Amino acid sequence: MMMKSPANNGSFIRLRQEGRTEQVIRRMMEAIDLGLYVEGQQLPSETELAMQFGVATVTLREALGYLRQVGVIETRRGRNGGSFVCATEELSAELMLERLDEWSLIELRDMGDEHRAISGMAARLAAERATPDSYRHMAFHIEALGEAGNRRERRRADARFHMEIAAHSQSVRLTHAEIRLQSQLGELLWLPGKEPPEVVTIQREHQGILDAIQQGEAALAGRLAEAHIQAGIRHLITMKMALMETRSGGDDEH
Amino acid sequence: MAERRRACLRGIEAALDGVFDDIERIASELERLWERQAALGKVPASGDLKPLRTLADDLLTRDNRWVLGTGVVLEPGVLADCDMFCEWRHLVGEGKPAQLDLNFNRSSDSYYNYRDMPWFTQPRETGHRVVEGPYIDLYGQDAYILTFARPLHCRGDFLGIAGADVHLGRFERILVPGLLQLAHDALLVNAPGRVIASNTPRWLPGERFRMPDDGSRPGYLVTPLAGQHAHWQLVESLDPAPARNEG
Repeated sequence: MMMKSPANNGSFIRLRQEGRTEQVIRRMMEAIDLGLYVEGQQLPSETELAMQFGVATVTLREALGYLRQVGVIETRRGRNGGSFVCATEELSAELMLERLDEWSLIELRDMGDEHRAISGMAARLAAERATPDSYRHMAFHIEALGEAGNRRERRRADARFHMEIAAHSQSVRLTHAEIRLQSQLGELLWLPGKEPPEVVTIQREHQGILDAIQQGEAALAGRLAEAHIQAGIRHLITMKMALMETRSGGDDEH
Repeated sequence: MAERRRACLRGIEAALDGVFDDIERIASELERLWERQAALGKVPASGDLKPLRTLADDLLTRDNRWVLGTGVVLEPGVLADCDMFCEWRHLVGEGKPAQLDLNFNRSSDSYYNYRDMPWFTQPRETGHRVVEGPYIDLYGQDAYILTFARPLHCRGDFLGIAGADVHLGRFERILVPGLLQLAHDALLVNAPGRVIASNTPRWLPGERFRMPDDGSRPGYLVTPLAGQHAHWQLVESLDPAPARNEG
């Protein structure tokens, strides 16, 4: 459900071509992908969703129509009717590797740069701005990661921890950016490689970031968050290189 | 070990030569065109360069898609009808070739003064071909690119350059596999020491590999690439690399 990376040949001055409908589709898919809406859950009414997204009802209907068409949601009629999130299969590791194959090493490094900027700043601001009740939410996702039974649950707990920090930075822009990046990169991070990320290692790193946030140590929280993201990107790059090594044999393009 | 290094170096040199071969068709066409006009005692005008477009578009629409832009950029004053001029095609939108329009009005804020760009000055001053970058092309494609350029001459006069902008994220597909065959951490760096490609997550493309002025760095073996054009170097760690993740 992760979206393909957009084509990279627009000029800086050209405006992003994504229309409002596409934006709503992307946000909805990200939200479902990251477990903000879970399988079987009923979506809020069209009027309410349109209000949440700040779009006209026609625009929202168009987006829901697309999501229905691609099987992400289904609409049931009747008294208990409405739109529901469909159960989706966990993507196979092979399919995920195909996705990894589409990105160049340069793009992965660049996404890592952006992700460090976003997550690092979110952690700094959260350390300055979060209130004690928010620590509980962050701690919840560290625990959930330990209890997760499969790749998707681990990935969601991991992503939710970072989204929670971003949300407590009080910046809507940082939160949107964090969600987008988690949606693009998060699932790949948990791919089974020769050295898949150890749940306890990730939990320890998350706990370190949370401790720094709780103590109000903004600089430390930012540094730890950046190092944590960087470790993840290096893991992805290692997997990508292994993939290139196995594929370079039969693939002579020049 | 030495055999693999040689194979890796040959592969990278062949990849660079491949791009220069691509530019060569456009370059030699322009030089032939100029020579024909000169033989008639004429100076070409901008309209005479139109035949180059087909050659450029052929290159842009090839399967590998790593050439984002190509054409010629002329030395100011060599054309009969305009001062600064380029005949440059580039990929836009859904990957269709289009003419690149640049602003050569000197009093304008968006004046594109290519005369100071290294991919123009280097071939002019040295007479050799160059590979500049990688860098982010702020004015064209907002992509991370390498610019290849070769000087154009007619009867000893410098006419400008023929060049190509290459998308490094796509071009890396032919640079990295050779590096992955090397046992130690290995990186390809350009003259200022920027990493172009590597076989290790410990060094990422775009990062800087700092080297003292004498070109040596303890713990690393540095081998320059053959051919003066790129000034690229292969840098290998003397420490055995930790085993790579096999995925």
